[in-house]
Amino acid sequence: MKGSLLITAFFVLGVVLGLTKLLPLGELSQDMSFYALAGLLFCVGMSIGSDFRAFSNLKKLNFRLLFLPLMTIIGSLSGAAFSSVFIHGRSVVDCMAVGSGMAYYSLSSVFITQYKGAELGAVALLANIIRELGTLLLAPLLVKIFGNLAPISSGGATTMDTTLPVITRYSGKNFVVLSIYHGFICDFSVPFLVTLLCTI
Amino acid sequence: MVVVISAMFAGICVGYLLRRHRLGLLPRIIMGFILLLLFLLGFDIGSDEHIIKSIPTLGAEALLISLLSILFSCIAAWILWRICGKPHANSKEDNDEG
Repeated sequence: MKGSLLITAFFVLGVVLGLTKLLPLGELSQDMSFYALAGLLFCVGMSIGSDFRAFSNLKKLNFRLLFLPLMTIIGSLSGAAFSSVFIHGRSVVDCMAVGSGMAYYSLSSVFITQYKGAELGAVALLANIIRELGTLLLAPLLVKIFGNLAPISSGGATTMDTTLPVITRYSGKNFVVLSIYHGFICDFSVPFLVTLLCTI
Repeated sequence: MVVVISAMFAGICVGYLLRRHRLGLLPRIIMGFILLLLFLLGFDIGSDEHIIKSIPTLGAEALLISLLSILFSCIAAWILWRICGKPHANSKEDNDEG
């Protein structure tokens, strides 16, 4: 939660400085974004490479549950595609690109900003923050309606960190390994899905 | 974007080689990059009057996309839940907890 506040604070600071036009960044901000993004993904890669705990306990899982990340991706993309019916002036693919962030708001919004501009980037940031918050708030309800796997699917790429505590609480401790595995796969898929959907 | 994706794979290789070491600083560096990038995204948005004017619309779009994504993901998870016959996640659970 502290992290989310800090992130929001920096974002708001950026908006305010942009509004006041005090900071003469201009073109430079695009270049900085690009290098910072490459640096970020290098570090994210390092943390993935050094941490294979998600796979150490996988043998214990029910084989069919390994398909949960795939279900999450299919669900997220189809839900986002369906939402484009109600949104004027956004293509199906744009909405799917936003949905493919799967609550990984930092990475997906930055990627989408690079490909499609700051406007869709802003939508991606908001949509994916709402998805994380929604999962945290709705987890008990989702378990009741859709079963124990629902909060994991809803949490998308965050199920190995921020939403893991609520999943453990409402789905049960038996789902911790599945949840970490699920977050890991979704995390890893976000850059590829967003890139794919933005270049179609 | 090829550069960016390649950077990730390079990172995975380096991370794997360093897996015996504690990378305690890494989460902070990642956080630093994320903060910088979101600051820059905020800056781009703030500098663009067109976006600032349409914030309410963009917020409504975001809400709709995220809620439908959650709903459809949950339906997909429910289908898998039914296919698996409402299992415990650990199939060898008895051995582990017994």
